Amino acid sequence: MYKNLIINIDELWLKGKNRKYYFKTLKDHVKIVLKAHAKDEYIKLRNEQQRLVAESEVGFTKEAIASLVKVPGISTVQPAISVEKDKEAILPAIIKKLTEEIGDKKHVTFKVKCKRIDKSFPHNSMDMCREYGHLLLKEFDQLKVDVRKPDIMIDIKVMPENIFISTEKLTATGGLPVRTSGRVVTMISGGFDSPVASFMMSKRGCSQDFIFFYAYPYVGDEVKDKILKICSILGEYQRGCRLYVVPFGEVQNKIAKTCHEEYRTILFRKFMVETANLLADRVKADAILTGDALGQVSSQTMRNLQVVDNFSKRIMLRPLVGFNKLEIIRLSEKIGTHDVSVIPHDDACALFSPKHPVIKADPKYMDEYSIENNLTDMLNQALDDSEVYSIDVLGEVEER
Amino acid sequence: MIYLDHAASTPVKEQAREVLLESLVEDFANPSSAHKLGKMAMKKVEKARVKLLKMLGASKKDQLLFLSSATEANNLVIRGLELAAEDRVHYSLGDHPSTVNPVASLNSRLVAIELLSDGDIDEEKLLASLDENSKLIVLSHVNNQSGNIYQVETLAKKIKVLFPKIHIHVDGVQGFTKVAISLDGSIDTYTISGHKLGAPKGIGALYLKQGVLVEPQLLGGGHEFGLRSSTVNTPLILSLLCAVEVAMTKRVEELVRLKELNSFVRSELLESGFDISFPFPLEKTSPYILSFIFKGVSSDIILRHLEMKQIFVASSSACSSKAKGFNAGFAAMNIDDSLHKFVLRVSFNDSTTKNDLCEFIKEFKETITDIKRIL
Repeated sequence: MYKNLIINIDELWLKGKNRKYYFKTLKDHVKIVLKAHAKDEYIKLRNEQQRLVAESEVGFTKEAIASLVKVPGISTVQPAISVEKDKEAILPAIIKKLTEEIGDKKHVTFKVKCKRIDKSFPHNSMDMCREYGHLLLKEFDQLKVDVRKPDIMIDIKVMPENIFISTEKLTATGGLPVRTSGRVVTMISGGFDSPVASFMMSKRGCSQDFIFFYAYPYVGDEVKDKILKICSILGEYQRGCRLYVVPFGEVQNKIAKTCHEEYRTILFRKFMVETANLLADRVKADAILTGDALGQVSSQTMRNLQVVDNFSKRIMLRPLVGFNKLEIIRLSEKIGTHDVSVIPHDDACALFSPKHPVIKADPKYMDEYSIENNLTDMLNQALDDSEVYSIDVLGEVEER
Repeated sequence: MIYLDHAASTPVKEQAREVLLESLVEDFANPSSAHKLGKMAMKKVEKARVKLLKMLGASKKDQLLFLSSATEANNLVIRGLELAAEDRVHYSLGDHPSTVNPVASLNSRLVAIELLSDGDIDEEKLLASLDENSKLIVLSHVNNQSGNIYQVETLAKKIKVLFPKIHIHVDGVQGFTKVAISLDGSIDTYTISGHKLGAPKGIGALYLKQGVLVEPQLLGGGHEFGLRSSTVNTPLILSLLCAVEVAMTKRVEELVRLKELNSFVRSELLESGFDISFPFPLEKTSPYILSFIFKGVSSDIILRHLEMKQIFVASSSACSSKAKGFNAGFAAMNIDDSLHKFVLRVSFNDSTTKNDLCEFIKEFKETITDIKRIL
């Protein structure tokens, strides 16, 4: 286990005077994540110029590092060995580490990289790289230098207080720290798209509340279980969030009975967006987030997206609007929601879906229907009757 | 509330509950203890054993083990016979997972028993499929899904005439205390479950014909003739006995009464004008179980609509209701794959009244009419 983590921060260089605020927000998030894994242990977390350095007496578990890598705003995480600020201490530490990594492999390529954050350290970076490269070649017969694509990159960082040696650099989520870009209500379903959309906006720093429209009794617990699993995964990219499971079967039943059949799906969407806005009023969110991709299904034509937008008081965020299905699926694999999304489930929209859904909805009919069928009270009641779950940074779900 | 899922589990009978509560207070001693209290408890257990054997139509010399569930009993027999790789095991894929899965775990050669289109066993084919290597036949007394009553006693006799050494195991969970059984020697082992007949969960029994040997799956203090170690649970055993006794006193009249009710539901549903079919005819099935197919709306959607009205039915076996679509059990019963998700089961007990069923039929029709308007 590694006792030190060097946490490099993304996009900080883009920031000006608000840099401090971004830095602090991210640091708080990192602290929460590491604390959640450390249980009782005190974790030291300090600023080192543009990065954070975390220290643990016991060492950071693989799980803790995996969680950290998901935190938006972090660009890379380097698990590191710390040695005292003495040139003589470096080589034995590298040899020990390489012995573990090389194991019984016959041929391994490497490169030594050195950076002095503390420029007062008397040996310059180029010299150190050359010297350690040479000494390591003498020590290990299996090693060969490859400066372009080495199997092992030995990264030496001379910090003000100590020297870090690391051989791994894990790419993290990147983007902006959660809570720096406002709050959104995310419309989530059991499919591939909306979880990926959630991830996209997590990495742009949005904190989220999830809303799921539960079409009981047309669908059953297995769909809800699926949503809980998905939100548990998405929760790891968030800094504490909530899921609202809104009973929607009655609303859908009413709409289906009273509207032109071809308008069912788009009217469902319209009332879902309206409900999401009502929730946004309650949780003080600034936008509604959906997984729409242009033209994917009938409710996602340009016209239909526009028609639904007319009923939203808030900006509708659609980060996947220009994505192909396969691109979305690939991303869902990357973020971990794929294996849950792929489980077949009953989808109420598919169940109610008209034979010929409208592709160019008539805004006039939508308006007329909405005036004749003001369901705001019913939607508010559905929100009141919601099951609410809180999800922590480890993805633990708890019913409130 | 109208509860029509008694084949999954049925409420504990009042008398059985009273016996349980009383025994929990009085019979706390360990029946294996050497002192008087322990011995008194053991005496009650032994009495219960004899009485249950009698009600099964078995001989005093046969054995009856008490254990935790029918699943445990089925496992003890199927795995405890320690069959060899060349041995053949005959079983039906239409049966309950508590027999199908232990059989599937065996290293032996498995032979599926074929079913006819009315759910009955294809007896001719079964008899023809047996040979010298056939060592175990696993049957249900009453199928939990279709309700088919299998004529296990006569079938067992026919099998034993051909191959006397074959072990015949019968899962009697849906049959005992409901349809007649007399274990007079052809059936080797027979399983009983408490919570399907009005006793609490956590108690079952296994009948073993005299001389039948099975390898224990639990080792310990050597309880239950060394075949099932675990402290003997006096209160549950006495409660089981009580539930069986209560059920047996009115078994025959209940059978007649429920046959009428079952027939009533069938004809009412047929007359409803909906596309409803009954793959398993009443004359072949236990009147306690009625499965039917309503084509058009997935049965779990109907189940949830009915539960909102406090009516509880089953959309497939409760143990496997999570599995979607295809159901290997229905496939074995020759139900077309496309219809599996439309199978609904209602099951009854001695408290089910005609009023309950009228209410069920009324609400069922209303639900279907409502769903049909929008789906």
